[in-house]
Amino acid sequence: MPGSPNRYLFISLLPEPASTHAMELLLDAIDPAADASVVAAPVRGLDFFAARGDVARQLDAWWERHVAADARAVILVMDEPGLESHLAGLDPELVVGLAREADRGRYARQRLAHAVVTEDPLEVAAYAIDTFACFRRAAAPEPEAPAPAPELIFMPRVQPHAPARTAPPLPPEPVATGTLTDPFTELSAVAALGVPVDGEHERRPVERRPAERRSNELSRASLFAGAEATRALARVGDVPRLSLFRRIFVRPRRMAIPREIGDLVLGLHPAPLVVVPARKGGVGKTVTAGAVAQVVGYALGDTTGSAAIVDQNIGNPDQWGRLDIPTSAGTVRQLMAALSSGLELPPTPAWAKTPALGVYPEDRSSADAYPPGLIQRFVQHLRERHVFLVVDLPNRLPDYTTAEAAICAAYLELADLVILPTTDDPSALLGVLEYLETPSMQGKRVIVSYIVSSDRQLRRHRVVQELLDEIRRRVIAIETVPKSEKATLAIVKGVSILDISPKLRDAYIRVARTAVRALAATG
Amino acid sequence: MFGRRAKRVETSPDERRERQIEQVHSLTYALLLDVMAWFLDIREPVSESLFPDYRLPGTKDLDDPRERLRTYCSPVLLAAWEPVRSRWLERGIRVKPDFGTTATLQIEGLDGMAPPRAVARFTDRSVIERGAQRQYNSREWILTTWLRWDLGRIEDATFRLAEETDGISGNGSRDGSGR
Repeated sequence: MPGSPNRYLFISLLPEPASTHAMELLLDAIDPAADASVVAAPVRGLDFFAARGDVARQLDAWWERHVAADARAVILVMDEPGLESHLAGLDPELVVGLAREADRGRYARQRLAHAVVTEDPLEVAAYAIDTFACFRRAAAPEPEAPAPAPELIFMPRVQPHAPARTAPPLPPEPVATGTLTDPFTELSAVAALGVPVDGEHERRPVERRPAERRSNELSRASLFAGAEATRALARVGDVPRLSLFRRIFVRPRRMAIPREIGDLVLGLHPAPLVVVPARKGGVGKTVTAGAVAQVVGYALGDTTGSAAIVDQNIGNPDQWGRLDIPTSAGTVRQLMAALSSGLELPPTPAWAKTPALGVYPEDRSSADAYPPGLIQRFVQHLRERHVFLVVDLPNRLPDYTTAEAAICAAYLELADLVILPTTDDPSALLGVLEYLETPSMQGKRVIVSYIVSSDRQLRRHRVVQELLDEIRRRVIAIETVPKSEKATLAIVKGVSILDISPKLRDAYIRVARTAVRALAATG
Repeated sequence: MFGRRAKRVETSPDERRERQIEQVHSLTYALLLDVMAWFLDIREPVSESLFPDYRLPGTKDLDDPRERLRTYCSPVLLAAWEPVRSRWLERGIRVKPDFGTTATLQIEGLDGMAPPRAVARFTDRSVIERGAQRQYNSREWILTTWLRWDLGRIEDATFRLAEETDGISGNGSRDGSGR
């Protein structure tokens, strides 16, 4: 049997929308103590096995990224004509849903195939839950009437003449039949002991501090609220520390991304389109777009949703050309071509190392614009596959005079939120104001990602401050990002900007959170 | 005679108060985590990377949550909770704990005028399951702990639903009398 029996990965090749429900079923049923996870493949059904050429290579790469060598992979799929012919030499186990009992024989030679006669993909998931050890087993039936506890238990007596200790009576059953109780509900039925803490209190040492100091001290402190405990609060920060408790059974993520981001993104419908344009180059546009998409990708890592980062920075191959994207990855241009010619299976995106982030690079050999209608179809295509879209746009003001400007105008027309990056170079700040005044930006929600110089004189210069004040009046928020050479280092080393510097990571988490909040605020 | 006097290292009242708050916070946090681990019968040390706020050195390395509780809780309190836990375990109920992202902790009695008492208020959004039955909790709990005068041990503790406590007794006393 390939893979370790203690580590499972369930791969859904089930059709949508049932696949999403099936994955929820599986995720909910996984035993918290087991090492198991669930993932949906980018291509479903027979196509997954029958893929050839570029698609097959991308699927191989996807498999390598998601399926660890020591994992026991289990594929969930619905039967299709000819599926069994692709299974020769298949390593993972297979749970396949069959339309008819008679089809069972087609899989008889597949030692690792579990055939289930059902046309309901959810039944396939239910079969997996019943079959594999990493899922919770149904609870044993409750005893009808527990044996009565003895009223008197004899325990060794510390003193020869001390009375035998009696067991304290059990608290009454706190809930009605049919309600599931949690530990706190059970414990709430236990009365306070009334142990003599007051008596112990009386035995405490005499207060050593001068009495006159007491008036300056707190008689009541709150760790998370209230002005009285400002000193404590300052050390605690704005992250409620008890919130960590909820992670007791949640697997650690590679980095702490506020849960709020994922929760808010999943509540947005349709999938929001966030565009990142700029008037001027060198303001961190591609870095901002990539970092925001990565933050959301991490935030969605434990869910079935995914984010997408799209390169539409045509004519400027510098930044995306340095990113570590497989040369075999399908490009936006290929995808556009597939959409315009009505192909069934457009190229799949390259999947980033970030969980739940699809990367759509652009063809660097051409700088032609796309018709606005095709861009609209492309965005719609992405919205059907992802829950959050980020598009890196060219450094151009939106209009229809050039290919790059037309790209900006077309995406801005569809955008739900605009992130304008800037530095504290006055020309960059003026570029933000210039962008805000274009007709395409009217009525758009905008936040500014502001890379703050380490030079105090520059960032506090009157001109810079006045321009920032003017920008602040016109946008939802300005989020600051520290200027750091590590942003460039991240690209050179081929690692995520979120992994290279905690300060940059925190800053871009703030940018992403502000963006998501702005989107959620107006639905 | 003319040598410099060593500077006396004194703890300021504010620093002392911060340490007291830190200690009460640590105990309350540990109690919540360990009670849940005890009821769910999870026997493994407290992960420092997952729970950096679990700040009871020595205790967090213990596998058994009951043993961890024993290091900072009154044995009388644990004895009172033990049968409740046994009965709950027999039901085969499973819990996916989720206690929201906000919690408040109010501490009284640090000035020595009354027994130290901490009131933690938190939201329970856990999922409770048994077989195919599933229940989504959404309610606020109040955990009240009474501590030893030196804040070294939890002597007593109660869990109460916030709406009950808010409606019946605002003074947080154990019998409603204000004691």
